Amino acid sequence: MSEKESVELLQQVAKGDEKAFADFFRLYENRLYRFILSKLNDSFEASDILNETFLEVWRKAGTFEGRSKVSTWLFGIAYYKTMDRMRKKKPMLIDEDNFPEIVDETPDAVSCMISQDDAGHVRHCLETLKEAHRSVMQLAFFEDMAYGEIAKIVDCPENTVKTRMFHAKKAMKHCLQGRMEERS
Amino acid sequence: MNKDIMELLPFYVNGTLEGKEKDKVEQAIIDDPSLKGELHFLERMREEVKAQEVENSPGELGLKRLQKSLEQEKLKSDPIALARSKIASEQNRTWRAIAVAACVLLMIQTVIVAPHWLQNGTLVAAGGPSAADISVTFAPDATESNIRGLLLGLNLSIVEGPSALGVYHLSTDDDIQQAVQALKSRGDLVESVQVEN
Repeated sequence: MSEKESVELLQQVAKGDEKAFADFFRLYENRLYRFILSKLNDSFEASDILNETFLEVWRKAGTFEGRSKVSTWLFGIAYYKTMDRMRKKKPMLIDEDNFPEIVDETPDAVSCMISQDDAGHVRHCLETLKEAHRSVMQLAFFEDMAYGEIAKIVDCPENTVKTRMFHAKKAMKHCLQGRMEERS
Repeated sequence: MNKDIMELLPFYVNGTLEGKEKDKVEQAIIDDPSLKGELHFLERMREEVKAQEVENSPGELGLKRLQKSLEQEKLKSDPIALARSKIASEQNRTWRAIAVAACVLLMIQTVIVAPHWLQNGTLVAAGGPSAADISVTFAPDATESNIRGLLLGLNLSIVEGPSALGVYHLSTDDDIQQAVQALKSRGDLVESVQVEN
């Protein structure tokens, strides 16, 4: 479905069209659920947040002004709700962007060492990423979003998104190197 | 390696980089062959993120849940509908209570009355058919409208029948003998007439 069609669907939702709302849900729920689950790692809570997100869409569809893509607006709501739930569960005392630098001393060889057999290691390392990094990684590599869109979703400057992605990549390399050394 | 380029590389890999930034990264890859390794690493990362298996999303069940939440939401925003819903809920509860009470009563009644039935052998239910005054058979060619006209004219009612032999049991609030005479006078329609004991 094109962006124009998504916008039209959202406009119908704003008028109280429940069929359009169901279509909108079917269009985005899988991607959104995946995104929420990647942050919470709890299917029950992810389902809750998904429900809350779409309820918010129903309430606020009329406020969508088309300044961003529909998906950016939608993922932004989901991100905010997920973060809110996470804060309530476990207050975040650490500023996610003030983390110690991981020295990027991994040789380029690591790049070439990732083979199909190492998919499990990659998955493991993805799970060990900090929440802020994982979100950016998920949006950039699963949703294929531009850094500008991601910045709107996670409500931070564009440069912060780029920096988070940079650090996420370094953390991944570091983690993979550690696992490969264990193996050898 | 240039940090700017390194920060842009993931977005070059996901195909969202445009214009000058895209050109800048492409030129950097040409100028610095070591960037190809980074590029490969990021491409593999992207493939892995996309290939991650995630349990099924709630799908249609999620939609049902959402629609239910929506109904509750609508009720909250409409006080009249909310009041109606509460009343309907109360009424449901009341009817449920009445139904339960009726069932309990029926059970008690069954427990008390059933032994009497067993002792008496036969019981005639109240409000059974009223006793017949006259038995009558009609001519084979008598039509339903003929019979109806005759019985209505004589103020007679069918209380039972026809039997396998074609016997109708009739009753009347008027004089029985007069009715019997009137029936007998209609030999074209009535074959036999008999007063019940």
